[in-house]
Amino acid sequence: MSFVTRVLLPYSPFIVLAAAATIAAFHVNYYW
Amino acid sequence: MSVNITTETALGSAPRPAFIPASIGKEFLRQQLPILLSLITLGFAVAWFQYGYIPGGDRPFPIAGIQVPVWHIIWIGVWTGFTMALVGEASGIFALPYTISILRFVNAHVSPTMLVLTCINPIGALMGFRRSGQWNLNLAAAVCLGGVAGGLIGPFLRASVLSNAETFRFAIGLMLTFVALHLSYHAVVDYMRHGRVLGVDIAGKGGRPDKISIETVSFTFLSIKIRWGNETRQYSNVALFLTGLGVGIIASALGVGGGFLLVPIFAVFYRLPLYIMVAATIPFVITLSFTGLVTYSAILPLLGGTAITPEWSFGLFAASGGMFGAWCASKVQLYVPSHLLNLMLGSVTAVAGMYYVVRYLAPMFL
Repeated sequence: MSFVTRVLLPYSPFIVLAAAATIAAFHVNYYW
Repeated sequence: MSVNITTETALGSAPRPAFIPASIGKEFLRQQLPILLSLITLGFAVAWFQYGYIPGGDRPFPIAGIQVPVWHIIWIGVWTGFTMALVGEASGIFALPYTISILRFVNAHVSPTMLVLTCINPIGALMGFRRSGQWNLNLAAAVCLGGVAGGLIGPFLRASVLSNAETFRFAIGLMLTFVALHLSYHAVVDYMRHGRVLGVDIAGKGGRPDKISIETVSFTFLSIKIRWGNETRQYSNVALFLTGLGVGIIASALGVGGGFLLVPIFAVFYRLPLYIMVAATIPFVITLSFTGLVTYSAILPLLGGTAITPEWSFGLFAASGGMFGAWCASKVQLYVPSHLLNLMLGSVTAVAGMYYVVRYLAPMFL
């Protein structure tokens, strides 16, 4: 199996959540 | 530390695709991209006609009263739509607290704006799951009918049965928190017992590794029997209808989507895997959302309530991302191990439960 189907796709929910948290932190830092 | 040891022990050596099927690219270009672009364009058009300018990071959205770049609103749709559609729900449970607490969209217009998002966003998941074969209208029929009936009854109970809505929400919050613990615990136990189980393994049993098949073995007025992979299950249509009815009543009386109640019930009491359950829960959240929309715009004004306008452009931008995110989730879900999906479901349910609990308890301490 490729890296995509073995790692990237199975853990994608957590990768997406981590990205969301990072962007939220930048937003808070910039606009608050 | 090894990750790929156990699938074969759990389900035999099923064929598993080594790459993503090329048809997904075609599906994206022909089906999803046009919808995505039209919703974004519609968002810009609505903003221009309503306000004469495009709100964003520099100029605030007048109704919402917040400054936020358009790409960020689309991104909210993408990540909430993706994570929630993985567990068969619409994006409200993540999108609402995020919009309120991070973006500080705190006035009453936030609820109808989120309704625009949650009405449109699961349609992306519906289209995607249909192509992956996670689709069975017979399984969805009874629960959806119950949802429609409940969605129409619910608003009338607002004034009487649910007059003490905060206490009722608190009770639901506590229940959801316990369910969340139960789901997370079972996710860990199942992983220790069966190891890593993927949706593509179940799909592989049918010969097409990228496509699950949920067959109806028998369907009568009283019961339904379905089969996927090596499993056959029989459910009572009456029980499914009553489940939909109960969730529909509670959800519409409280003015929330029903997925966050229905999915844990299916997981705990019906023991349906998330890969299969989405065939019923996604149609359910869409039906309930539309019933909610009718209730909100037509029935509530008749009962003396006033309709609150959404921030349309905000809702449309979020919905464009939400539809795309949910579609991506439908393509990715079969590759996410079931214990991680159940952990996600546990976390989502915990967020919903804690939201109601904290909301009830916070005024006592502040």
